[in-house]
Amino acid sequence: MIRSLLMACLLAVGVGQIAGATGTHVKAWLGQALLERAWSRAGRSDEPEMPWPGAVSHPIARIEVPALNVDRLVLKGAETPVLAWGPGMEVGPKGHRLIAAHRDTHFNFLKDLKGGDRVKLALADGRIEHWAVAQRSVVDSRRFGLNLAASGDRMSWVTCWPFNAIEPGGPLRLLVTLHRTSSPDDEQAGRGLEL
Amino acid sequence: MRAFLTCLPLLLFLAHGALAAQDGAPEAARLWLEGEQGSASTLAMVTDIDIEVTGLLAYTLIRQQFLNDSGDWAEGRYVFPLPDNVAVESLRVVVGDRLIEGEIQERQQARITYEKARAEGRIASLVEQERANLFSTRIANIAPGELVEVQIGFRQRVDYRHGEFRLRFPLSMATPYVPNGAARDEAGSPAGRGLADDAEGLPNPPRLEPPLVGPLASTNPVSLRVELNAGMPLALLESSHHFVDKRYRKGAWQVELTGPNANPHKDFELVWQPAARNRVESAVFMQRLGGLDHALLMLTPPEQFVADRTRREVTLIIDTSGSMQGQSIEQAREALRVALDTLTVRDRFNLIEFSDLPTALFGRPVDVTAANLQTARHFIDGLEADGGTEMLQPLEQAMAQTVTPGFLSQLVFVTDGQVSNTAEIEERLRIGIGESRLFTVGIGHGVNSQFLSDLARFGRGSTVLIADLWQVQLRMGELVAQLTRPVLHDIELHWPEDVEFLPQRMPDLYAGEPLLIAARADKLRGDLLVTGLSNGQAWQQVLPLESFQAAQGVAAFWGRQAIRHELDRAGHGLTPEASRQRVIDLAIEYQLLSPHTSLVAVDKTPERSQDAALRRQDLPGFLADNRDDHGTGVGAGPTPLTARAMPATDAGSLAQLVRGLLALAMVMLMILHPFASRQADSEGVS
Repeated sequence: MIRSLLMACLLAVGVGQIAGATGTHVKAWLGQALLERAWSRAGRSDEPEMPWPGAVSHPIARIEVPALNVDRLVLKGAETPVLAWGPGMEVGPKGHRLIAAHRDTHFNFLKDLKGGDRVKLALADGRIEHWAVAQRSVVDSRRFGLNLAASGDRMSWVTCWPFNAIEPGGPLRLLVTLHRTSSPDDEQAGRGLEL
Repeated sequence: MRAFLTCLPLLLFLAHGALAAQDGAPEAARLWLEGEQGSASTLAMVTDIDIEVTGLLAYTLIRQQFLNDSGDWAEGRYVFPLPDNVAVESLRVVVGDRLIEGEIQERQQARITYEKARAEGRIASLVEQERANLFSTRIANIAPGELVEVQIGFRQRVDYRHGEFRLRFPLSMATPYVPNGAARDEAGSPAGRGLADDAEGLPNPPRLEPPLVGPLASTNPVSLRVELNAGMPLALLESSHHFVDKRYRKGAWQVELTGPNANPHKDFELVWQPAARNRVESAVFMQRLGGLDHALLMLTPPEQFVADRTRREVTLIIDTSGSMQGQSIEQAREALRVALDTLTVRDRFNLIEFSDLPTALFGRPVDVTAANLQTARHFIDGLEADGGTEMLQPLEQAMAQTVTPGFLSQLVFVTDGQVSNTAEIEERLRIGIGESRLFTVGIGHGVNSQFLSDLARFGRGSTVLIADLWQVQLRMGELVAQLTRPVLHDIELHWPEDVEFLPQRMPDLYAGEPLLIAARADKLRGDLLVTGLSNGQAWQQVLPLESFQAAQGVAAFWGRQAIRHELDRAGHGLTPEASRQRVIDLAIEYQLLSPHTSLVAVDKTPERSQDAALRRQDLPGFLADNRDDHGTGVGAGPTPLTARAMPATDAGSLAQLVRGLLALAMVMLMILHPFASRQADSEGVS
């Protein structure tokens, strides 16, 4: 009797946890899929286009990394509720962009990102910018903050580190710094950037 | 949450910096940066202080955060005050994900190491003892936009007076320090001082000057924690000027500043009192380091003590030279009367006055009788200041008096200390003082206090300074307490093995001040016997060394005492060069900062860091363009920073997945288990 009860409990916990994990990924995928519609209509009006009623944020940019076959829609704001649906972006007073996302969903590809990798950034108003990965470093979030007032020629991508940690909420972050290039094939872009 | 907490003070801090610059007020707390375009104070800082107290020893770890928001590669220079008599033990610099550890080197060597590292583009930091309580930290090659964390660990002694333990920490170190008024002029000049020197091939960076403290309108982000292991039950534990949270956990008190914005104008002060005691308490701590046992013996006096059976032989010596004319001689007469009043019928006394020649009232110390006291008072009333100062003769005369067995010989020396042959007097005193104790009373404003306190130290006594007539009663009261109430004197330590111990001449234990004795030996085992005289009675205590409490910092304490001892001996039977070498050897052995050593931290992975430095130099930094936006140039004002904590970027799906799979695996095991056991059973039957 006790045994069956125990088994039932364990089964419930197991299924619940796996469902939760799956849910996280489904939400991440679903978010990107639903955002597609809002993105296609973005920039047409001054009012931000909300992807669905009651949505916490709306898409403001799209990042593409051709080398890794990555395409992500980026939401406004880097708060926890936003990050469940997609990478979140904050913009500093001089145009410095910070993009944060979860290490197990949208920013999992950062582990394969190399110095010099090209990135295409599409903005809601239709502008396309070209960027290259300049530097990757691991920092302790208990000690280091981010300086949003940095120059607009730099962009920071942040995700949790290390990628294979079991327990969430660790203090380390992977900080990827990107730098603006004039065209996708700009030879100068990757100069001295290999890590 | 933690990330947010450390980030918040940073924000407040920066906001204040911008404010101060607008008002034209002194710059807010920032590090002085010297870059190619000049000097600017554009570094922000967060301060985090951890203090660990064991008995009377405190270990403090300060973490400071600087941000180079200048857009240039820069050298940082930071000056900060520390409590008195500290021994810096460690230095760590964290730049990005790299860690740089410090080590003690001879001063010149440290300078060379530092310059070399800086020239090679490596990161180096140098801490030098400028004065006993002022340290400077230099950090070379800070990349634009880079955050630098400097950690300095040091030891200090807890103050114990009048039954109270007191730990002080100057929170003002988290407030702005502008190295000099010249700072403003320097800003905008083609090169900062440090780099200009370099360009001209001069190896010596400028020495720091005393910092100016600006009036501060705002508070600073500073967190402070104390772990207090008092080693005894406490009757009181409180912070004098700040709000703190207190908790008792695992035999120690945890004290923490409430909130990040403590008042930086007041020193942090923690006071604790032991539960009332009425006997001499002894504690021993031990630390094994470098193959040697180091011991620290602490004798704590009772709070209340009456020494009504201690017999004293007091010789009062008074300077009546011309320099004592006027106010001074009156103060001296008053001080003598106070000292005379402390005598009881069990004591003996004598009086010696001197100018060109000494005159003793009695041929030898006499009993305290009404008649003798009357004679002495007349003698004091008749004292006039005139003539030269021949200090050596009266001292030698007093030291030559034979001490009656069973008496504690005390010399009270009242003078303004205006003599030129101080070194000769100190030397003669060291040789001739014998079993007598020498107490000095400094009179007037022009007193040579260093000389008088040195004399008292060599004579195992203490010194008081009296500047004005109205201070006589107050100051002499402190001296009288020591004169009349020695809790334990003629202390002898009988060690089971051959040991070196310091101080070499055993001081007395007085009410209100614990006595610390440091010792070192190859191996310390067995019993330590402590004997002495307390209130006319023999006193002894046996301390089994096996029960020594292990404590951090005992070896460092020995090192500091030994360095002080060697410094004292310089010029007294030891050439300055020999003394210097011994101090350097000790400082390096115990990794202590001293007048002849510096603490230097250099990145110990040269190739990698050099590559990194070069690579990063190619790149415009994080904030490279901030500067250009200020048309006015360097030092025009701080760049407003918008700092933000790192976002939480973990959905936790991996942990969930692992937990879920684990639970399912257990269910599977439970399902399979009955089959497995049944099979085993049937096998057992057949």
